[in-house]
Amino acid sequence: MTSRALPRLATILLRGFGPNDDVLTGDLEEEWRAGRSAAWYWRQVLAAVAHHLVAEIRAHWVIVARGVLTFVLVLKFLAPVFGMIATEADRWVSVHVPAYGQMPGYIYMQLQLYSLKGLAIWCLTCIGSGWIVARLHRRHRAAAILGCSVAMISLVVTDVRLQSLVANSFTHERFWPYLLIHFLHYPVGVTGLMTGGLMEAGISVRQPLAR
Amino acid sequence: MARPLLTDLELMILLAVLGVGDEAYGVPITRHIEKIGGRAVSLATVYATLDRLEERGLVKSRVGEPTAERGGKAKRFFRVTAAGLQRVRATQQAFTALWTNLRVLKGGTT
Repeated sequence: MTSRALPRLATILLRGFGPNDDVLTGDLEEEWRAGRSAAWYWRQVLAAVAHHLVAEIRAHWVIVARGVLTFVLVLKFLAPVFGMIATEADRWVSVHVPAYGQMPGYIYMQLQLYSLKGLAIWCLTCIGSGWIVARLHRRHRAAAILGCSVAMISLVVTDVRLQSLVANSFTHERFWPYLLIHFLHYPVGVTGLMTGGLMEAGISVRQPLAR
Repeated sequence: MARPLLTDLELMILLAVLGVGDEAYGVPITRHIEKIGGRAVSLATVYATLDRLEERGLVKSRVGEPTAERGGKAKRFFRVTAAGLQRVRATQQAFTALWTNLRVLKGGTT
């Protein structure tokens, strides 16, 4: 038997968004101590979160739908607020954009610093939205947050700009950075949402993992 | 109306619970399915299926004492009920009946 520590991030994910089930976490801990790999542990955690999400949506779909609606409304409110903060910050921080040719080929992006700033604002907006959604749906926090995440990911299908960037990227490599930045909004948004939810639940990476 | 048959996963899990015996909880059930049944299943899937089977009265569970090697967390032991055993037999009979006299499985042609 080994005394190695459980994978921290996976355990936080399980605690924040998985079923509140000591029997399952006990089984996972037993198997981990018996020598199972980190990949195995991650697979188990993701399966537990997915099962929990499906069960919660089946049992409380109205609350999950309300969570998604809250997220959309909060996002509509927070996005301009963070946008204004960013515009204000531009007055104090001058951003130097290098001219074309000063950076190698596909790495170059005309407004890359502005794009990264936009990504950072998006992340903060999603953290704030996730926190508010979790606060308003405390009993079904995990389902509400995961429901919002699924809703956000499903927007990929209707994202016309993303589709156009994908199509253009096949013929012009200069579109790759734009495609990358645009696509990154999805994983960054989901990560922000979940971080906001975990923050509201008081679960942090610095906490000891024992319940 | 005939009772619905068990799905392949439900059947595997019930057979694993029977195979493991008195110490049938999540870990040995999952290992039994992996080792004997040759199918990788997650613990969450096993518990979700067992919950469903318990709702239908095909298994019963009890929570044991917390143990140190599990970080002070308890085990949940399962046993197959008489109704569960009956359903396993019914499923076996249905599959055996379908199996019988299939020429293609005996090396013949369709």
